[in-house]
Amino acid sequence: MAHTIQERNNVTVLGNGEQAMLFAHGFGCDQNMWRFITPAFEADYKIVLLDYVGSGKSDLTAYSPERYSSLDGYAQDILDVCSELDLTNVIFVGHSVSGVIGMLAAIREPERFANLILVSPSPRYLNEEPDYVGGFEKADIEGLLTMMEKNYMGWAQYLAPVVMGNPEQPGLKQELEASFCSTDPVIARRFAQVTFFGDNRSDLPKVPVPSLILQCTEDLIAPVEVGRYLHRHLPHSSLVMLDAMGHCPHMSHPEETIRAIKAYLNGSAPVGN
Amino acid sequence: MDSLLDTAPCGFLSFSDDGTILASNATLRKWLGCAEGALIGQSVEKLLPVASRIFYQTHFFPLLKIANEVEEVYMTLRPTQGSDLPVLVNAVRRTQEGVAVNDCVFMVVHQRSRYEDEILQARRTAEEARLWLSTTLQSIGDAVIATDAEGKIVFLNPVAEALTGWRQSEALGRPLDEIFIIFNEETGLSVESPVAKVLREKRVVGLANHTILISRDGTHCPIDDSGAPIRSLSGEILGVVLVFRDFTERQTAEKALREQQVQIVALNHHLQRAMTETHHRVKNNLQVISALVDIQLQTGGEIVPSSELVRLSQHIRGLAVIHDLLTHQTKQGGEAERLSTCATLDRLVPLLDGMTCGRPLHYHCTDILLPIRHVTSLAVLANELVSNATKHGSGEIGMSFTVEGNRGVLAVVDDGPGFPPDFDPTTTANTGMELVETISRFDLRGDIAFLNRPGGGASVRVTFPIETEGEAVS
Repeated sequence: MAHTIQERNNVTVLGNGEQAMLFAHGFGCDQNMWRFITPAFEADYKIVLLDYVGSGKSDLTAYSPERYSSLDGYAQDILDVCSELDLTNVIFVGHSVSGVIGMLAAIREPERFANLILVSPSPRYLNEEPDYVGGFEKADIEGLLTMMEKNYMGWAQYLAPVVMGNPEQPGLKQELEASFCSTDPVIARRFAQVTFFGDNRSDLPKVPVPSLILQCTEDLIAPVEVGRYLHRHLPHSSLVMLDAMGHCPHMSHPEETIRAIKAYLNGSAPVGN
Repeated sequence: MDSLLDTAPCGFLSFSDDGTILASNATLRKWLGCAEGALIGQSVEKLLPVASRIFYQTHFFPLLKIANEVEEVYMTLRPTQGSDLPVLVNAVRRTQEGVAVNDCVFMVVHQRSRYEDEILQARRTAEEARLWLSTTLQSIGDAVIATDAEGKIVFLNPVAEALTGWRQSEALGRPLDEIFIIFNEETGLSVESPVAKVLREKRVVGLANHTILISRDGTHCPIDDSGAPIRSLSGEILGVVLVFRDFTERQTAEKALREQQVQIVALNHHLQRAMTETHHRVKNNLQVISALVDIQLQTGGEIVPSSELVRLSQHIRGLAVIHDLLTHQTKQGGEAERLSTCATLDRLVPLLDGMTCGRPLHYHCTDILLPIRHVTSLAVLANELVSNATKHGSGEIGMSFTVEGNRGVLAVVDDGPGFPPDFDPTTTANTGMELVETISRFDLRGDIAFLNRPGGGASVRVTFPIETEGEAVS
């Protein structure tokens, strides 16, 4: 068992600034996905990175199916880290589902957050008749779960100890590290379900801090319609369309992503349009 | 494109970081059913069904970008016609003229994919079976511990956790003997682990009676249990399952049952005694009545005066009073073997009052419980003495029952002439004194004194030892 929140969430603190930028990864990966972005901010900010419990090098034994059965459990991870490091005035940067996780955290403890920077966010991934375009049908997500399962097949031997709650399995962590962004397959499957079957649209109007929506062109996972929907429903939000394609602009187009974040933080991005 | 690569038995594709296809080989295009020109400049996502696109965005590309290579990733490709192709992808990143290029090789894995589907299905079935089993074991009221073939713990259900005081997570891998410590209640000696016995004898074993389990916190708990080997398909012993239960409740119930049985036996005995006593009393009363009748016959000759019959009937009523009191007392669940002297005399005095021909009868009584037999005697004596005082004395009649030390005293006095100096109750005819004598000396084992009071009048005192409770009642 981890003894501290830092150990539990594999928290990394970098940089020389006072104000904290807290980077939260999305579904499928871990804090490594931010490595192309954070160097650009290290000089001016305190960089805080974490892995959600169940992802990356977090403490898998701290995972509880009850706590992480909704995004609130993940938001609690964010708040736990803020509390442990005594962070306020935080610039929260979250990718994809972490955008919603950051909103939930800000709704619960508004005083900790200055801004939310939402990279390819979506409050609802499934299409909802008659007029909400999330991008997916349920069958697409089922297909994803099967594909994940097939890619995790070689891990089956590690499934039992995690389920049995026995962490003292030598070699477990090393093996996982060599695999997909260090995620336990059972936990990854649950995270996928929580992410893709969740619906947080009703939380949007409650978000009390200003936010920046970074929207890629041709993002299949968070389509442009979703970005516009967010911009309409999030109070004090700015929407910036990136030239980047895909769902991971911070990885595929880090320079453009950095420029957009810096412009927003320096106050030169369009606000509230 | 190298011609060997173009026709190699694997698909090949290069794409940039933003997903634009830079190159493909002929094998891949053949699979996908499209021309070279149709791929270049397109997004790689266009080749993927939706699930694969999500996987590409959330897993494949991030990992490739971070690790610079990925191996054996399972995905599916969507040809322009026909069903999706299951493929394994290996990919590497390289830099070409300062720009990152991602090269991928695809192997179609129809066969392997089918096997994998079967394995996944089998795994799901096994997982469901495990859930069935574990839920069942979690829910049953018996404690269950399973060990491997070396007797090391692999499973404890919640009841077993409660009885042993060990959490499953702490107990896993430990030898059973550390968790399941038992000894014989009667001998105090430790008992061989049932798991060791099962492993040795390779059969189901039960535990001897009176086994006590000592939990982690030292609590003792009586248990009964059994162990059974778990065998593989080929008959090898894989482990042992031990089932036991807390015996305390059953022990308590058995103890209560035994106590009840003892109570029933005691009640039965009591009832028998009461029956015997009742028969005895009926017999005694009949004897008293027949004695009274005999006395009348002996003293009254052929003709019994009606006054004597009245006396007789008075005695019988006195006896009836006592039995009425007894019935009442028994109904109320009170003592049925002893009677209160006051309760008896209180009921008797109105009857006596009726035969004093209007002369006042004063009485006082010290209350004490006496055996029925003595109370009966007292009633007859009171009857007889008051009757005599009425007949032979004059003035007021006094009656008292007092306790002096461990003796009871029944006294009847009158204001009459008193006894003549030569009074001898054994010879004086027709005074009813024989009855008084008999009852006082033999039934009460007491003494009787006939005295003249200093201020005039006769006084008869019957004193007798008081039988306290617990003394034999004949």
